[in-house]
Amino acid sequence: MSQKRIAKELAELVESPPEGIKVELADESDLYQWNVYMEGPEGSPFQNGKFLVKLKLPTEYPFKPPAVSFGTKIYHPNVTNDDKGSMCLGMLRPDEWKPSSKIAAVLQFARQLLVEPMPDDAVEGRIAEQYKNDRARYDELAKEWTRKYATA
Amino acid sequence: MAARSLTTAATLFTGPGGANSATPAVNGSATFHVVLDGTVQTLSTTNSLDKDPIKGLLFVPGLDDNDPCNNLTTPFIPPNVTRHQDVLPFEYNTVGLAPWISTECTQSFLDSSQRMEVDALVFYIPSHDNAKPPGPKDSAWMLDENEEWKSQNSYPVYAIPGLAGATLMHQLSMYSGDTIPPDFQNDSMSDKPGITRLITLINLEHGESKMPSLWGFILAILGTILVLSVILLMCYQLVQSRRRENLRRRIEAGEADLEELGLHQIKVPREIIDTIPVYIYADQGTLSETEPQSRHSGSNDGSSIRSAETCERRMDLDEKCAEVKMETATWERTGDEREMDQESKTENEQTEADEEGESHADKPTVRTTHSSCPASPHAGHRSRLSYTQTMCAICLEEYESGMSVVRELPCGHIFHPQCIDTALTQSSCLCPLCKKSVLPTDTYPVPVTNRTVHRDFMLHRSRWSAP
Repeated sequence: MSQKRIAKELAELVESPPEGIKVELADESDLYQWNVYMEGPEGSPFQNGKFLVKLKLPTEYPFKPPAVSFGTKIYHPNVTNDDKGSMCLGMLRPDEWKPSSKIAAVLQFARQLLVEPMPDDAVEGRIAEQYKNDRARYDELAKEWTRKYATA
Repeated sequence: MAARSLTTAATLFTGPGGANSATPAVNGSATFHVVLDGTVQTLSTTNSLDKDPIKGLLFVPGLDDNDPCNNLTTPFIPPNVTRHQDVLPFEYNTVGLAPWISTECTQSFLDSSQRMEVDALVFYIPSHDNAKPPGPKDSAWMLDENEEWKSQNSYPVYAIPGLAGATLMHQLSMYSGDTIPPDFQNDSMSDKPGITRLITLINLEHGESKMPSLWGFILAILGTILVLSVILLMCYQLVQSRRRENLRRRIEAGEADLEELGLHQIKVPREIIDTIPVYIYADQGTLSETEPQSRHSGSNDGSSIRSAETCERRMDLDEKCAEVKMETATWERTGDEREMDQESKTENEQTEADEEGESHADKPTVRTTHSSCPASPHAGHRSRLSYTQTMCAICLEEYESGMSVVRELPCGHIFHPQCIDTALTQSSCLCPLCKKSVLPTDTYPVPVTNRTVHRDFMLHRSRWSAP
């Protein structure tokens, strides 16, 4: 069942992609690994950046949530600052995931998170602190990282 | 064990070896008998058996011939005093008596008593009073730096008042020989041949010393704490069980938010899933039998009406969760909708495709809003509500009228049985769309734990503290 649903969702996303999001399979033969190219939303420090987001779907999808990670380095409180780039999304937690949630919604949520980080739910405490207390510096660093890593 | 009293009495022995049957009983008023009660000081307790009184023949340990203490103690020890050889033939326990006059002489007496294997040694500091001698820590009993003498010897050491010591010493000189002492000469027992010796009985404290009482105190405190903890624990259990019961009642009544309580992860047992109805999906076109008239009346109007409806319906789209009043309006519309369905199903599908993502395309929207509102009370409405859902939210497949088998949850949402059953058995008991529990309100398969109660309590507290 998971393959059918994933194929359907993929087809929908390819046919009518949400704003600033482009999806493709990382490997044409594997439905469960997606590469998502996400444009930094306008008005955020990530503007003009192009981020690679890796989406990994479990075989139990949609009963188990997908995993979202950033392939491009990004300065963000909710993305781990390591080579994994794991993203913490509330709706992706196993106990909050609903089988009726769709990948499009997940990706839109992830993009929205770039505009409005959730410092109270952060994985990078230091960045979260900075985001809350010294927004100017945060914006500056986020922009710098975007220029450095997310503009090819 | 500390000594409580020391009793010394003259005892008549009928012959050597006969002492085993003898008791330190008083043989008439004329015999010597002295009791020291409360004035005996314990200097060392080595080998003093618990509770057993020490009983033995009293004698003065002799020193080496060349010991200078022989001369030094002459004023205190009469020459014909009872010596070791006088008590040895009776093969009975022995208790030594010696004056404490100097460090060297005390050491000599201790050594000689050790050689003679006495059962106890009694010291006295020569004086003329009858007061209890100072305690074992007193400087009067200082022999060496570490008080090793108290543990070196294999017998306990006691001290008695000076006057009592002198009296005993004097009596020892009278009961030493084989002759019958003057006290016994007029006694009835004097006819019998025998030897008289002084026998000493040292009574020990019966476990009433200070340390045991301290232990007893500690034990009593520990016991009290234990009892109190048990009581507290029982009270806590009682309160918790009542809280659990209370929460369970609230859950069964549907008042508690299962998701906030973390109970939505509960898997649904197969037998409960089997009670949820399954039927073959039919879209609104097949509902014709319920309201055939409206369908016929609308069939002439054609596309103009349809477009008008579409317009109207699109407006409804925005009125999410409208008032109950809307229900009537909806029902009026259903008939027309059905007619439309029949005429051009393809167009209808097209509209749905346009709505992409919104799982409830235009037509269903009006009614789906009701489903997301607190459950519609009328069974009739609810069953129809399900027909407004055209797609399974889990596999995203369209239902095929008259073909697809669907399961309808208590909230009115329908899914393919294979899809929803997996979700219910493997992840959560909540509807994937509206998060309403599928579990019957009167049964709750998972026990409410203390943790759940705590979580509920915290939730309430945060709600109260919130502005």
